[in-house]
Amino acid sequence: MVVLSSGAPGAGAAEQPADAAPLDERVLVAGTTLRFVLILALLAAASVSMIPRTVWHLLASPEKANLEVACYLAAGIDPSVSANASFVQSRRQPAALEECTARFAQDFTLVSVGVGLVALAAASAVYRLLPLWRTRRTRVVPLDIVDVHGRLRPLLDELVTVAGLNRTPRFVVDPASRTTGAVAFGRPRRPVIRLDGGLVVTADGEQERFRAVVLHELAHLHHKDIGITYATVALWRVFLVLVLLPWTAVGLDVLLLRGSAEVRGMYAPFNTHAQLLGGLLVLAVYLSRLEILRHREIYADLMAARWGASAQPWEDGAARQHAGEGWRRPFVRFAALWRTHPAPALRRASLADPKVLFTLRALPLLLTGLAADILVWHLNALLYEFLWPGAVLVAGLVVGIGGVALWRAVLYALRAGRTVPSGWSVGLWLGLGVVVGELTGPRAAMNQWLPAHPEALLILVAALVLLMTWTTQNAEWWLRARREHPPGPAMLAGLAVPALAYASVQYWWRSVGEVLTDGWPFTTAGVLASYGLPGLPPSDLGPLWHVVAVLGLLPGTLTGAGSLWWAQVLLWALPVLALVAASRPGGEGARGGGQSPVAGLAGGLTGGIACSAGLAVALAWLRDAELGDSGAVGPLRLAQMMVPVLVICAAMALTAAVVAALTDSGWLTTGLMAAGITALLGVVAAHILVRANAGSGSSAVAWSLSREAHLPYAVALGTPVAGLAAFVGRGVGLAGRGVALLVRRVTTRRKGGPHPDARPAPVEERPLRPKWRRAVRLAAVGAVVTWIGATALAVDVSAASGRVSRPALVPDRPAPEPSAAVSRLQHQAWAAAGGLERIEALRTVELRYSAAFTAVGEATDDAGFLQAMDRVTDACGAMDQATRRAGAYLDVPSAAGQRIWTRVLTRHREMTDTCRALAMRPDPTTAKAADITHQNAIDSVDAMSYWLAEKGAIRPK
Amino acid sequence: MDVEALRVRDLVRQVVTEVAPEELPLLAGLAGFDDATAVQRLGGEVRRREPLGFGLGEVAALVTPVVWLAVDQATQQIVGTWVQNRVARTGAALRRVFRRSASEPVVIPPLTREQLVLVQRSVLTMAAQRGLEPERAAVIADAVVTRLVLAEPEPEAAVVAEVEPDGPPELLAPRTPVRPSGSALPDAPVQPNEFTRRDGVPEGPEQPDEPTRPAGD
Repeated sequence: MVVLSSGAPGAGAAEQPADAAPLDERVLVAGTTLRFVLILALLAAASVSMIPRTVWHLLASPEKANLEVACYLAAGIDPSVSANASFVQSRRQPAALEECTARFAQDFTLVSVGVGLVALAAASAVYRLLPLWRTRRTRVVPLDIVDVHGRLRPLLDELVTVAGLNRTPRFVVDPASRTTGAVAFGRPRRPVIRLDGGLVVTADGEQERFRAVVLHELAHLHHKDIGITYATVALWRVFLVLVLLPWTAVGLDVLLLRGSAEVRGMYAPFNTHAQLLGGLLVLAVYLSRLEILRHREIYADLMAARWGASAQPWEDGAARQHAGEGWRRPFVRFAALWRTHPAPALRRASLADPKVLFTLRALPLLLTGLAADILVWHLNALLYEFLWPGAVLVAGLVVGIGGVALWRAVLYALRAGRTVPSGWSVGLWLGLGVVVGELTGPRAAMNQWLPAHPEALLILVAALVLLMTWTTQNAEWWLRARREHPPGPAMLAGLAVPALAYASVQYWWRSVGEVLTDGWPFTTAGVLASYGLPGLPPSDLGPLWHVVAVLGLLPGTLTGAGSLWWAQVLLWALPVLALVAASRPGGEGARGGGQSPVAGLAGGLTGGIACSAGLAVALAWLRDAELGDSGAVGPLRLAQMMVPVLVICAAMALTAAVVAALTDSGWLTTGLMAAGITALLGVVAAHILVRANAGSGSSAVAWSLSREAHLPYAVALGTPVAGLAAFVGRGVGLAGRGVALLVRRVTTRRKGGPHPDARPAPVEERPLRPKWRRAVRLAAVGAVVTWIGATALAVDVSAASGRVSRPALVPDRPAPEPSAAVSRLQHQAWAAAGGLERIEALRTVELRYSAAFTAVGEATDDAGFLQAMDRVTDACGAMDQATRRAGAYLDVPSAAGQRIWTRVLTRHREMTDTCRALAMRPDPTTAKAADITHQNAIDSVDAMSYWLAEKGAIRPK
Repeated sequence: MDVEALRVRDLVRQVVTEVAPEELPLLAGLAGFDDATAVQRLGGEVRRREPLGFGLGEVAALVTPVVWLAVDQATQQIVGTWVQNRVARTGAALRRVFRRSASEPVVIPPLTREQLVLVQRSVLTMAAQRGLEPERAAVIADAVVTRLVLAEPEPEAAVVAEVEPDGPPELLAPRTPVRPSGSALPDAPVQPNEFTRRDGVPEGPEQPDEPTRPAGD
């Protein structure tokens, strides 16, 4: 297993000496509950997603199901092209497509809910029955039957008292078991400990072992392990049998057996991805569960030792176990992944130093990223309204699990005097898990074998790397500054911030970002038009408008409160709060690994001044620029919003990069803090400048803070951009220092001076004077209050009318032409899903009209004539209705076919008109006109039928 | 043949009492299982690592499973075919599923010299498989064989039994009423000679591990 112990360059070892006593593993939460929650959420979401699919495939009528699929083909959707192209096609005639699919839709929601409830009831039953099954009469016997000498019961009572348990467990014995172990199970209110026969036999001779084993099991009860463990076991077993197995069978049927080979092949990529994702789900849940259990074992060992258990059983276990050497080592490590218990040597070592509980390991992080990504896929089954709660759930779990691991690692490093981990590697492993899930599952590639642009997934990886690095630096700062305080509350705040920030990234990704895995599906004109402002898109699309269009797609596009853009504010507001804490007398954060308050403030102020200057120049340029057609306010208005956003984001990025390059420890948090101050000053400057500009010029636009989008854009886009720029700045700074060191070394060698390896003595940082401390604190509090107030105002009015906002962003790049085979299928589908039916309906009303028309000619008296005319009138109405119904149907999925179909519709509309004229004024002229249009209509329908037959869409008569 | 039989579980108790009395608690626990269940459980896989188990439990070199499994195996070879054995086991499993009455206890018929050797070899093999040291294995095997030899019927009794297979059981062994002894716990160590009886007549409901007392006492 890869161990992530690489230190951040320059992070440096903690200054305080290593503590003599091993770190108490309970100093921070273990994080295993969150991982269990992830597993349970994954199983629940997968069930919600898989059960309806299985039920549908089992119960749905194949004919109707095929016709529903045919609707999509009839709408011109090509299954072999990218998801974006399909989406574009589906948006061309949404009403017709919806009507078509609704006609053939088969709803089994009630059955699915019923199956879900049965599965839930089954899981509950398994959870309750498992302990009964394990304590059945042919398996175990009560302790008192075996305790023939009466010595075990008092000993066990004593151990229970030592453990201080509220509830005394029931002890049973498996007399047939030869091992000297025990196991805890049952339910939290009815715990059971089963002693193995071998343990009972050796209880007298090896009492230390007996005590250690029982205390270990009591520790599991103390840690409340049995409830969550066996709940997971029950849910997992029921999920496997009632959900996954039927789902897999149905999936394989769809993939390999059902329908024609041609259609199966067409949808093979999607169905294969779905099956692979099912396999990955099993792997992720299974390995995660075992990994968590291994962790819990070490916690139980430590607690048992704390209660006085002898270390001898662990020593013996380690002595018996031979670690794999040489070429066997990878196999031994691989085998260890599938075990419920850690290696004995590790358990023995952990008794002395539980560093394994604080070490960052790659596999759990990879599995977390993977499980979270699968969770996202299954959450898609939920309604779109649940997008933000889903994003918060996923982000909370991913960042919570990675973040708790990081906080523990940082704490251990500080207490043990070791190198503080960097954090970026945690983000990398989490991100790698996400990427594996995306590439294996159908989310990114949909019905392709691989997404066209998988590099877009790096956005998610970058976000995780950024947030995990931030978490590390923030954790280090708080743990240093508040050494005497319990770290729990600080950790909670320190994890909530990146979790919300990642939730906002997730929200953007699922709303807009994920289409990028398919390439750039937008056109500049389409994006600009989507703002709905007069004069957009302008006739001349220069570079400025391309930039504005791209800018409008990045995070910040979505400025509703539910998009959580405001969470980005917290990424630098929390470091500012840390600054306040640092300026307090006795605060330790100003020294050592924390962010530098001076660098942050100075950098922010400088950046703000530069930003204001840039804004003044940009707005002055805008005032004189010719934007769009004269008289249209849209281009100017959009430019006045986007150009300041661009300037503010650039200033934030530059500030963060420079500050990160010049700062040693806490470079990211300090850089973000400076970028935040820059943004704050920039927004204020933009507001003032735009208001000043608004009063002058012919195209004056009224502005107010509540109607501007600077703030959401600047924060939601500028903060992550500044964070990434800080990474670049950090890299440049390190490279610069490396070059400087090299130059100094060469120069010193030439001069024959002392060896430059001798590092210069650290310069002791002068503490700030009290009045400066107060000033810093005031400034920081002011900045945070201003920012939060402004943010709250922006959130509050995010739905206000009059803002520059976009209702919906739709990819609009057209799809390529389909192949001949797909085209034939599309035409067949068009005919089958309703085209032929409408043609026949037109024919029927034509005949009805003919009959009525003939009846008019053959009428011999007035009454007969009037009756025949009534029939004509009815036929006109039916013709009108049939024509309208045909017109509302999907277009023919080819230009040639659509031309003929349009002619059919036109001819029938003409026929309807002449028919009505005849009904109103029956005379030879109207009769002749009606006869001509009738013939034309018949000809057009025949032509359509011939064309479809020729295309292979229908069988020729 | 059944008339002359010694129950396997009785033999196991005698041997364990002699060579490993510390394992008598296990026998007390196994008393609740019928023979088929006991053999199946004793011969099952070792579960070292269950979720929330201790996970470092070593396998104890126990005498009880060695004797029970070896004698049962040898008895199966002597008195029945493999097929019969499997059928009996399946029947036991089905009985467990449907909560039917427990299977009849396995009994050991009087053995020839060759058969005694077979039993001894079976014990030695099983002991080696289960990690017992050869010296201890030999002691156990000797104890088993000794008990079996001691359990052999007297020649006259055997003749009587041959002539009058349905004769009164008192000729072979006194009928011993099966009764729980209030003070003596079901699993209390018992004297070896308590188990030298022959079950000459059909008994009431089987109480496999309850201590019995010779009528003469």
